[in-house]
Amino acid sequence: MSPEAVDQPPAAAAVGRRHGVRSVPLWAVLPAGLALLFLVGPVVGLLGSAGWSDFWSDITSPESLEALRLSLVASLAAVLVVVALGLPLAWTLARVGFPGRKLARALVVLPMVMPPVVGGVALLSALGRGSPVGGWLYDTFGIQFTFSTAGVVLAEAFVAMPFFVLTVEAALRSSGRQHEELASTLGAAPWTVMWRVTIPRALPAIAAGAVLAWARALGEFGATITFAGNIAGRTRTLPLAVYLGLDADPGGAVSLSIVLLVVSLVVLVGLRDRWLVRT
Amino acid sequence: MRSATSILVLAVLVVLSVLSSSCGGDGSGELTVSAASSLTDAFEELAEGFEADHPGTEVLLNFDSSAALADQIDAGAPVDVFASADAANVAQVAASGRTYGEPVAFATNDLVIVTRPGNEYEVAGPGDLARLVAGGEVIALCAESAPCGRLADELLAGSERGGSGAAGPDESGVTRAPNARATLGAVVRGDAAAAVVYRTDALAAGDSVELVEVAGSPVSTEYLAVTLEGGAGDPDLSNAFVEMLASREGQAVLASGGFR
Repeated sequence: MSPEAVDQPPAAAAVGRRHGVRSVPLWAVLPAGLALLFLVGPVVGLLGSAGWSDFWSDITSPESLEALRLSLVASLAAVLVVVALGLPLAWTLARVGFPGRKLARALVVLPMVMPPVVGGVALLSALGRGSPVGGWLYDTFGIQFTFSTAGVVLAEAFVAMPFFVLTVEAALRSSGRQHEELASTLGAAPWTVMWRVTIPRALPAIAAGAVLAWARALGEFGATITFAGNIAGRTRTLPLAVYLGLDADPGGAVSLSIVLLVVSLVVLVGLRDRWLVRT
Repeated sequence: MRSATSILVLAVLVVLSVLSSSCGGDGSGELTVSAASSLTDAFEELAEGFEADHPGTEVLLNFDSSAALADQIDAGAPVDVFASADAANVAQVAASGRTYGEPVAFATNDLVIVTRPGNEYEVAGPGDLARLVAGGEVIALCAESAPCGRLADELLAGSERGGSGAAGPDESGVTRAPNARATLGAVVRGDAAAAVVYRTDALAAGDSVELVEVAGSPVSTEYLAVTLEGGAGDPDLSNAFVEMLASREGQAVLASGGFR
């Protein structure tokens, strides 16, 4: 919006003051209300279409529990992969000046902005049995990622990693390196600086990034069904169960959707200080 | 500022109305056909021929699984002709009272087994699929909700009862793809050892899979076309399209795609 958007004609501003509200132009409020309705309406509709009497039996059916268990196992494993590989990457991007750092940063964000299905196709062409690397892995070690729980973990880690790396890298950059330099001057070895200074100071960001990555991994659908398929108990996570249940058992699909919605809300509330700016 | 916003609002409304009207098809020469996704290749060719035979007519094709299309029609979608991959979805639409004329059967499609090229496990019939799963391989079937998934389950249950007497494959080695094309894709890429798909899809995949015929009485589905009220097109045009499907020319196009 241009600066004059903020300026109100004197008359309108006076009307705003008389009502005790600071300049509420109608042209902004109407579309804003429409946007809010558009975002919240479907969620309200989801809650309204739930068959609450069957809710508990829907989410405790053997199929649902199997999908729930698999979702938890795979998403937590994905977070482990994300933290183990993402933390060094975030630190490198924040602390090590190297040619092509800007490019590396852009590449890290790529999985976040590209459609997850495309991510799944990309993983297939890199690690599917028909690909050179995937074929070699299978022929040499008998390892096949497609249609395996390990494949689910890879797909989830692929889409979730950027959320973690961006969060941690931003925290590392904004916290500066004075404390680390001070510790070095006092004789701390690089390894000690990392474990005693850098990581403890970045811990809140690491935790927030991990929770964010976990929520993204838990909700992953497109890359998972494309790369890991849809096998009950092995790769059929909650979102896949929701999608496949939609035709056969719409009520059950809605109940499982609400479980995922509740998880998202819990994450939102847990991270409110990072996302919801207090006014 | 005020005018800029109203222009923006106007632009949004114009875009929305253009999008919705192009889906609705209120032009006089338009015919909207909702067809099962397994008909995609054949219907694209058939629609082209129909447009050539009826100058000024534009055929709008809408492909999805038959169940999804039936739900759209029940929800009031302005469709003139519905071509379904099974009778159940035609019955669902007929129950809503929008059909006129009798459903016309115009094609049959059989289920076949496809394997990776070379058929390394020497799969000869549905009874062999359980052996693949037991050996640690994955086989691909359509989701239970899709017609091709229901038919595949029927085929496997038949092999369990009759012929080979072998048990069906364990679900722990069965990936359930959302539709027939995705099921085929798992074998084309080599990640799944075998799949149960429509013959037409298997033929479209060419040399990237090996086709294994199901011996004895095949599991098949019959495609039905029915004309609908409440569409935007001319009823005569709708009838002409359905007649064309059953005509010699229409049948020739369908046969070249593997339908019978």
